[in-house]
Amino acid sequence: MTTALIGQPVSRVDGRQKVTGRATYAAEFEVPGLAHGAIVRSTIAHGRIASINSVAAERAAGVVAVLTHRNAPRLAYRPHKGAPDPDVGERLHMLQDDQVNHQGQPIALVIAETLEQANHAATLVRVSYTSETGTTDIERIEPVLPTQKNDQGQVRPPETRRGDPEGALAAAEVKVDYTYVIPRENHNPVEMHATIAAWDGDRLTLWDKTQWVHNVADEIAAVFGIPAENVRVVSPFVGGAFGSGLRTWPHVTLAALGARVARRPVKVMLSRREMYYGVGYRPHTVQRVALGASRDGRLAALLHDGYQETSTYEEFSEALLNASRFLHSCPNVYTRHRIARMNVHTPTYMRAPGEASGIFALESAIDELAVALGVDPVELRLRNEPEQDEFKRLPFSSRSTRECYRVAAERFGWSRRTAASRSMRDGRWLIGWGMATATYPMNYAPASAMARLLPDGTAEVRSASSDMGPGTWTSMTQVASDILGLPIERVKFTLGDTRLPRAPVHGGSMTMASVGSAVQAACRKAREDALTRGGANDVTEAMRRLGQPVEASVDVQPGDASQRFSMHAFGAVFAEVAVDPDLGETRVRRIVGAYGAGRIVNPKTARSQCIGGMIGGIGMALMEHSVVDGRNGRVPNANFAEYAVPVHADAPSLMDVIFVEEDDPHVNPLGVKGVGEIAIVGVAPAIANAIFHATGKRIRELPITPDKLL
Amino acid sequence: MNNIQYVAPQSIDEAVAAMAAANGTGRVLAGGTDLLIQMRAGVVSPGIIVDVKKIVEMTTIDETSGGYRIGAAVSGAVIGEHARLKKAWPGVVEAINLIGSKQIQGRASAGGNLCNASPAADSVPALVAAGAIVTVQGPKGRRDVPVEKIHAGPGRTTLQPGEIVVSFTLPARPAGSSDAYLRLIPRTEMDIAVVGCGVSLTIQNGTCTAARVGLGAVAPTVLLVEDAAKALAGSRLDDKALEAAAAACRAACKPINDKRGTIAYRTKIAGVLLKRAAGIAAERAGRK
Ligand SMILES: Cc1cc2nc3c(=O)[nH]c(=O)nc-3n(C[C@H](O)[C@H](O)[C@H](O)COP(=O)(O)OP(=O)(O)OC[C@H]3O[C@@H](n4cnc5c(N)ncnc54)[C@H](O)[C@@H]3O)c2cc1C
Repeated sequence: MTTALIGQPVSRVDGRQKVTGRATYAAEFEVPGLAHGAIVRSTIAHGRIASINSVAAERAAGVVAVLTHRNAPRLAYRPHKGAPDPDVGERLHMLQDDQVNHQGQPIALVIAETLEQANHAATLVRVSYTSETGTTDIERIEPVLPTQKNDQGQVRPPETRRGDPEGALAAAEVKVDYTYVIPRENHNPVEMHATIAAWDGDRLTLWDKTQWVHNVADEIAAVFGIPAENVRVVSPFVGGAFGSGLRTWPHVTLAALGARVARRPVKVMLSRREMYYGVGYRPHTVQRVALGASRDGRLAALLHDGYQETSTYEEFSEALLNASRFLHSCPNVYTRHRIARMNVHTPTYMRAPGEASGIFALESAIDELAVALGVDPVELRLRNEPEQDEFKRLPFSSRSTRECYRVAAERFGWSRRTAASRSMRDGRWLIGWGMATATYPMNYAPASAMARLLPDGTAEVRSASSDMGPGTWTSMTQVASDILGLPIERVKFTLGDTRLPRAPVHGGSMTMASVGSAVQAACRKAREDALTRGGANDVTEAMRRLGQPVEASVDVQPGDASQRFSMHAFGAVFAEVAVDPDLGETRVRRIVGAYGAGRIVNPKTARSQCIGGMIGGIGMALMEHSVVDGRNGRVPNANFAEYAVPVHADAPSLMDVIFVEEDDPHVNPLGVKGVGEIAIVGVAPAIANAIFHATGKRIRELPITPDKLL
Repeated sequence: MNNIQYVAPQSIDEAVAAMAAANGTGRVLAGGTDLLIQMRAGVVSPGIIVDVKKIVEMTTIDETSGGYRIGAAVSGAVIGEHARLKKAWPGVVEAINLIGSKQIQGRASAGGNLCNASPAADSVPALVAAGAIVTVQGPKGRRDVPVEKIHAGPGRTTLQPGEIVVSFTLPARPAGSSDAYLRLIPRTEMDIAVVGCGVSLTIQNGTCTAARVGLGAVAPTVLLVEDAAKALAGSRLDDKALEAAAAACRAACKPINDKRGTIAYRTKIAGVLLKRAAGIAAERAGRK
C-alpha cells in the first residue's frame, strides 16, 4: 500500500502550533532562575579598549555580574571550523583581550535579574578607546585575491580562464562592459537571535536560534574546552533566518560564558539594532561584467570580475562567479574573485549567497547585450544554451532552462511584449517586462536519521535538522509517511535537538536532498524489517503482530555523481513593473517563475518558498540597503523604520510559480534539487531589466530607488 | 531608567500643573507611538509622563459653527470614523490616516504628530493647508497659534516649557471647498514621507478663489508655501497656474540628501505632488 504523500500539497504539520503561539522559539523557553544578559558593544571600528569602567553598572539595581576582557575567564578556544565558517581566519574571541575589530563588537556583558535592569546597567559601562586607523569605506579599499583556494568543498577559484577572453572581447562585433554594485544587505528575519544557556556542572544546555544545532554544540565545546557530548542544543522552531543562523555567533558564547560566571541560566537576546552588528550580512559587491558577441548573438567572450567586502580577521567569500562559468555557453571566459578587507564584522551567507548577487550582474549584462543586439532577451539566452557544463566539462544531470523559458514566457504572455523601451503604458504608468535566468547548485551532504515503528501503528522519525521556515517539519513527515505507508497523523517527525541523529547544516538548499534521503532510507529499512519480522505486507498489521518496536538508523552519503555530472536547479523569472514617470516609483505588478528543481515533495510549501524568494527579490531590487558609515562602520539605518523591506502591500497580486516536470535520477535518492535559494535568484535582475524596458534607464546599482529613475 | 513617574490627569489644568511641577522633565504622552520608541532608544528620558488620554477636551471632536475642534490626543482611527469631518476635510483626515498602520492608527494622534516635530510628519502639511489653529495651554494660560508656527526645526517646537497642545480648530469655509494630501514613500505602505504635500482650496464658478499649500519633508520644518497658494488663487487651475505653483513649491524646498531621497529628487517631487494634490482637491471641491 502506498499513500503517495510525496508530491502532495500537504499543509504545515506545525502550522496550528505556530499560529496559536504554541511553537516555542529560542527566547521563549521557561528556564527557572533565568538571568538576562545585555551586550555592551564597541563604538569604534578599530583600535583598543584603553579603559573600561563597570563600577556604576555593577552597583545598579538587579545586576548580577559585569564581564569584560579584564575579568572574564580565559576560554580554551580550541580550533574549530564548521562548514559555514570561512576557511581562512579565526572567529573573534569573546572578552579575551582589548582588541576592537569592528563597530558593534561585544566588549562587555551585563547580567541582571531582568532584561530592563541589564539594558540599563549596560548604558552605565564607561569605555575609552585608543583608535587605530582602519577603514569601513569599500570605495577606498584595493581588493586583493583571497588566500583561500577552496571553500567548503565547493571550488571557488579566485581566478579562472578558458580560451582567450580578452582577445575575444577585443575582437567581438558587439560588446557591453559595465560595473554593477549591490550594497550590503541584512537578513532581517522576523525572529531576533536569542540564546538561553544553562550549565549543570560541566554540562551545558543551549536553547538557541540556529540552522545547525550540532555545529553550535561543536563550536561551544571547542570554545569552552569541553567534550561536544556535554553540550545539548535545542532549537525546534526558527522564525526565519535566511542564513543568519548558519554560524555560531558571539552572543551564543556570551550567553554560555555569562551563565557560567553567574552560576545560573542566562538569556541573551539581540535587539533589532544588534542584528546589524553580530549575525552577518550579504556583503557589498562590485562586479564588472564584459560580454562580447557576434552580430547574430553568439557569446564570444565573458569576463566577470567581482569583489566583496570581508572582515580583517576572516576571509569570507561567496559563490559570486560560479554561475557565470556555466550558465550560458561561451568559449572564452575569465572570472576573478577578490575580497576587500575592512574593519567590519565578517559577512556571511544570505539566501543564495553569491548566486543572487553574481547573477544580478550577469543577467543584467545579458539583457544589455540583448538590447545592443536588438535580439529578444529570451531568444538571446536560447541561442547560448550550453550542451554541457563548459567549466567542469561535465554533462548536466538535468537542465530544464528551455522548458522554464517556454512555460514561464507563455504564462506571462511574453509574446505580446513590444521590444522598445517606453513602448508599453497603462495610463500614466510606464510598463516594463523583463526576465532573467536563475540557477542554484544541488547540494547534498551526509545526513542521518532514525525511524522507530511502534506496535500501535504509529512511527517516530528523527533527525537533528532545522526548519527556518521552508517546512522541513512537514516535508520530512510526508516522506516518512509515504515510505512507511502510514497516514500522516500517525507519523511524528522531530528535529532541532543535538540528541537526535546528526544532520548537515540547514542551508545551501540541501535539507530536502540530504535529510530527506536519510529519512527515506531509515523508513525503508524500518519498514522492511517490520514487514519481514511481522510477516505481513502492511506496516500497521506487521507491527500489531510484532507487539514490540522496530528501529532503524541510517547514515546516507552522497555518491560519486558529482564527479560525473554538473548538478543544479535552473529557472526563469519574468517580471512586470509599472514606473511612474514623474515620481520614479516602481511597483512590481507580476512575477512568473518557472523552475526545474527536480522532484517537488510538497508543492504548497515549495510555492511558499518561491513566493518568499520573489518578495525577497523585490526587496533586493528596490529597497534593501544597509548603509555603512565610511568613517566608523556604523549602520545608521539599523532598524525597520529605515531599512526598508517589502511589506505586504509591495507584494504583487500575481506571483505565479511553476515547477516543470523533472525526473533526475542522479542527484540524490529522493530526486530533489531544493528550491529555497533559487527562489530569490534572478528576481532582482528580472525587475531591473523590466525597469529598463519601462523607462530606458539602466540602473546598475541596487537598490533601484525612485531618485535613480528621474 | 529609574524613577520615571506617570500621571493621567482628568483635566488640562492638572496636566499643565504636573508639567510645571516637573521643571522641564515632563513629557506629554498621547498615543506614545513616537515617545515610547524614543524612550527605548534612549533619545528621551522623561522624569514624569503626563498621559493626556483621560482629558475629555483632548480626546473628543466637536463641531463649532461650521468648523471643527479636534482634541489633540484623538487617535487616527477615531478621526477616520468621523463621517462629517471626513466629508468636510478629506485631505486632513487622509493625512492623519496615512500615519503608520492599523495598529498605529489606534494610538497615534495629530497632536503627537505635530509635537514630535518631524519635518516628515504626515498630518502637518495637510493641517497647514487647512489653516488649522492650534490651541495651546501652559503655565501662562491659553493661546491660539497657526499650526505652521509650531515647528522650529527637526524635533523642536516653539511651545514654551510646560505648554500642552489642547486641540486643533479647522475653520468653517464656503461651499466648493476641499482639500487633499499626497505623500511619496519608496514602498507602498509603512514608510516615512520623502515629500508630503497638502492643498486646500475653494472653487467658485470654475475659478480658484482661495488656496493654501503645505509641504513636508523638504525643509527643517513643514512649510506653508504662500507663493504656491498665490499662483493657484484667482486661476482656473490651468496648466500654467499649476506649473507656477509647482515652481513655487520647488523654490521653497530646502531639503537634505539622505538614503530616502536626494535634494534634486525631493525638489522635483514637491512640484509633481503639488499638481496632483491640487487636482484631487479641485475634484473633491466639485470642479466639473
Ligand atoms: C510603525 C510606525 C509607523 C509610523 N508611521 C508614520 C507615518 O506614516 N507618518 C507619520 O507622520 N508618522 C509616523 N509614525 C510616527 C508617529 O506614529 C506619529 O508621529 C504619531 O502621530 C505620533 O502621535 P502619538 O499620539 O503617538 O504621539 P506621542 O508619541 O504620544 O507623542 C509624540 C511627541 O509629542 C509630544 N506630545 C504629544 N502630544 C502632545 C500634546 N498634546 N502637547 C504637547 N506635546 C505633545 C510627546 O511628548 C512626544 O514628544 C510612525 C510610528 C511608528 C511606530
